Amino acid sequence: MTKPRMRTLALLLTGAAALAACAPKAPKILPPDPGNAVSTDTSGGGGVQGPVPGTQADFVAQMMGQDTIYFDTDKYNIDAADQAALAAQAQWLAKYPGKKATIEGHCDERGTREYNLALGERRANAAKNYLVSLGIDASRISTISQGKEHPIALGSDEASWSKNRRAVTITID
Amino acid sequence: MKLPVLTALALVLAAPLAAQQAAPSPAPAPPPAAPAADAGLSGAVSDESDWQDLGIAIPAFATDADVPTQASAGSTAALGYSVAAVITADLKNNGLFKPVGPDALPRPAFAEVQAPAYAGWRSRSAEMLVQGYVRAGADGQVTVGCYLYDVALGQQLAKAGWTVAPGDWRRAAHKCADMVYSRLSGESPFFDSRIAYIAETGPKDRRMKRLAIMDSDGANHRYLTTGQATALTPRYSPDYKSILYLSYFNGQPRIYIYNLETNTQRLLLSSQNPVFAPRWSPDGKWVLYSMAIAGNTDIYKLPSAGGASIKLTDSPGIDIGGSFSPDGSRIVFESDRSGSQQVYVMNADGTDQKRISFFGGRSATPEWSPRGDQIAFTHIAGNLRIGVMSPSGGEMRYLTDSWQDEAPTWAPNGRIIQFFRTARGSGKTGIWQVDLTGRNERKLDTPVDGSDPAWGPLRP
Amino acid sequence: MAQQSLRKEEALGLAVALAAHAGLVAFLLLKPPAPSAPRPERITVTLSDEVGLTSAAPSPTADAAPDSGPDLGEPAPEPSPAPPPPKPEPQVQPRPQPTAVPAPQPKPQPKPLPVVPPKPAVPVKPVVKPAPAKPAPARPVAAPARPAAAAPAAKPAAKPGASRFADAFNKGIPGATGKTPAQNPPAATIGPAVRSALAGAISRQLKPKWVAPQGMEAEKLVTILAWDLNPDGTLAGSPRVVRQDGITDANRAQAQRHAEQAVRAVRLAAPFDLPSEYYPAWKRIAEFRFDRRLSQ
Repeated sequence: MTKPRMRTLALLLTGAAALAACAPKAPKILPPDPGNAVSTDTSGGGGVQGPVPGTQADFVAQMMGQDTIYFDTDKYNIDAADQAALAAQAQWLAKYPGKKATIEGHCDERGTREYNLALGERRANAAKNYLVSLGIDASRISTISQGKEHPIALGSDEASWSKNRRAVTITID
Repeated sequence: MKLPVLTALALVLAAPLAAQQAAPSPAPAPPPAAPAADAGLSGAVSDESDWQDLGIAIPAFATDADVPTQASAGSTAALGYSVAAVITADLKNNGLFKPVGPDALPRPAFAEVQAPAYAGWRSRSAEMLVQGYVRAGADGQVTVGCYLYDVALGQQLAKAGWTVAPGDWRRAAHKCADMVYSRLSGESPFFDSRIAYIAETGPKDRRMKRLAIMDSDGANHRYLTTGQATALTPRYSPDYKSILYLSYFNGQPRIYIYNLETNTQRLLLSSQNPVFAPRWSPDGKWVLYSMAIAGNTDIYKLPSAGGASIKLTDSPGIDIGGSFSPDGSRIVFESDRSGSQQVYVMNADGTDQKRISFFGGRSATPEWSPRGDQIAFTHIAGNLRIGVMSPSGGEMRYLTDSWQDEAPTWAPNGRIIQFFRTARGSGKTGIWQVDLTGRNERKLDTPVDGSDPAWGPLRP
Repeated sequence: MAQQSLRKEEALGLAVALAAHAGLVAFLLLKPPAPSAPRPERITVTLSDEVGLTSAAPSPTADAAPDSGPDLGEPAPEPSPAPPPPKPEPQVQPRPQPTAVPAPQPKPQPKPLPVVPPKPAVPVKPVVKPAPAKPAPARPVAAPARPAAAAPAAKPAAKPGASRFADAFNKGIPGATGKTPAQNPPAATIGPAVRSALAGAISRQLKPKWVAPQGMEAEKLVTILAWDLNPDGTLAGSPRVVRQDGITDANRAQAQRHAEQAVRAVRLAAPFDLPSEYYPAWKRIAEFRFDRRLSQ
């Protein structure tokens, strides 16, 4: 109980440092893309009147985009930016130990459908495993692959694809 | 040098020369020239023109008596017209023939069906003629007779007849088209078959994907699921009684068996893990599926009658899909154990796994031809294209060249491949087909967008 | 001077005369060789392997011939003075002798009428072999005596199977049958040029009638046919498949169809329009290649 928590805290500290250094790599073209809206709850305004703490809306607001991690083409490894994001997620999850989460794995459209189902599953699992390594109980996190069926960026270009190769953490209210 | 000289001239000129030349022939005295003459002439003919599509006239089928039927097309006379129209559409759609349908042709009398008015058809420059008749039986059944004639030769090439329930009249038309197709192409028939696919509607990020089925020509279309849960990757059972497919029903990707006789469905197997890529063995006795455990996907085999699963692959990567050889002894599948998607072959018990694709790029979704001689697959090197290779991985050829073509499925005769094509940008999908020459490619008409076609076998 | 000038004129005249004579002599000298060195194979575009020994004798046996003949498509250049037939061997073969006046025994196979008549309740197996029926009169031109003569000739009692090519080749040119129809010119010895031209004429008449089947690797298929012709250009008997080349796993299904279409082309092209004085050269077509790739 305490041990994991200590570890989490330590990681959070390093995570915060990393966070300052690294921006998430995928959304390089953040502003013009309307797709980002999906995981950004409108209620997460960031003012005094924030969402109810411990809810998915709160999670989205707190993560400020870090509820999603991004992957290179055909890859599922967790890089430094991903680690920072997952650390932030782990911090939130550690704060609300009663909350469960689902990680959705996604792929870009430039792959075959079935393989992408498996690849999305692998990406979701990579994210989950990292959270678990940060001390989050595996039983709290489920995974689901959406393959390439639900893109968030709708273009057919590298900028869109890099946003679609993702794992999104969604907490369950 | 003298190439352009007229042949006629050549004949004249050559005559004396030839005579002189042959003179010294040491042939026995009596028949001096006979040997040369009797040697027989040889020569050759070629054809530098483009491939010619055979012209086929398909007038409305005759009837002995115009009787009302239960068929959707109406009376026997109306049915005779519709049958010819269906045959015309079938034959038009594969690029080998140039059929002219009942709209443009006079309808032969019943008596003419078996004694065509060749002269009249010749004057219409039809090379082949398909005639037939429709008769209503006392039992409510409909009999369709189908005759193929070589107009130029004035000879009958094939004939057949079928008695069907009125609701199945299109099948009789497909059977007739199949008879004509196989007689004139040398290939096995395939028109009388069905296709399961995924009907898609809606915007790119929220596509509704429903399980649907249709005849090979798009008729008798039917949605099987509502679209509330995303459906993907259907596969018809060899007996057409059920369909395996993936559904997100209950939120998780799992494989269901849809029973077409009872219109009910059940989970193939209950598991906490995601299961996808269902496949039948050619005899219908086995089902292949792929299951991810902690992100690692492997291929399993399950008796369709029920029983324990057998794990066929065990690599740390993604092993997925699978397609049996026609004799059921081997399975071609996809694996990224080498670092990228490639095509592998193994025995049906999982032994002797070896990679067969070495073309550069990635190779995915292999499907073994029902004829056994080819494996169709998706090749990914920038664009996604449909290709074929031999079962040993040789003789790779592209059949399509578009932005994104994937998921080939074979026609029952192993000569035509369907796949789905995704449009760049819009993400709209459509089912296409191409023959093995790659020359004849066309889009299938579906009520809405379509993907993941799965061609069933020829119906008995 | 006058003399000289005269001489000059003389000399000039002499020179001219000499030159003219020399030219004449040269002309005369050079001319004779011409006939002895004809290279007329090049006249038509059609490839011909005439000239040589390549030929096929119809043998009533074998349906499909072993394919061990010489390669086709190489127009042997030198028309070496008629290669001596190794064995004139009379070669008595029950070959359908196309007499000019064949008894009109129309055996055009009565139309396979209603085997499926009114009630073909059961799927009838499609007829696979095209029953050889009478050649259609698709060709209204030049058909003297045709309609009557064509059909009857078909189906000689002992149906001549395809010629056994290898056999024939090994034996060389078979001896004459010695029975040319009376009406034919006493077998003018017919050289390669004529034969090549005849082949070209036949090729041109076949071409519009020939539609090769399509399919994967179907372009590799080659069918080699043999057939006999009556003096009026009509078919004597049925065309026979000598052999087929280029069959692969991919196009195997089209092979039979390829042969059928070649036979069909011959039937439709008949009666052939060919100079009757060379009938001895074209009464037997020993090997005709139907090859789409030839042109590529």
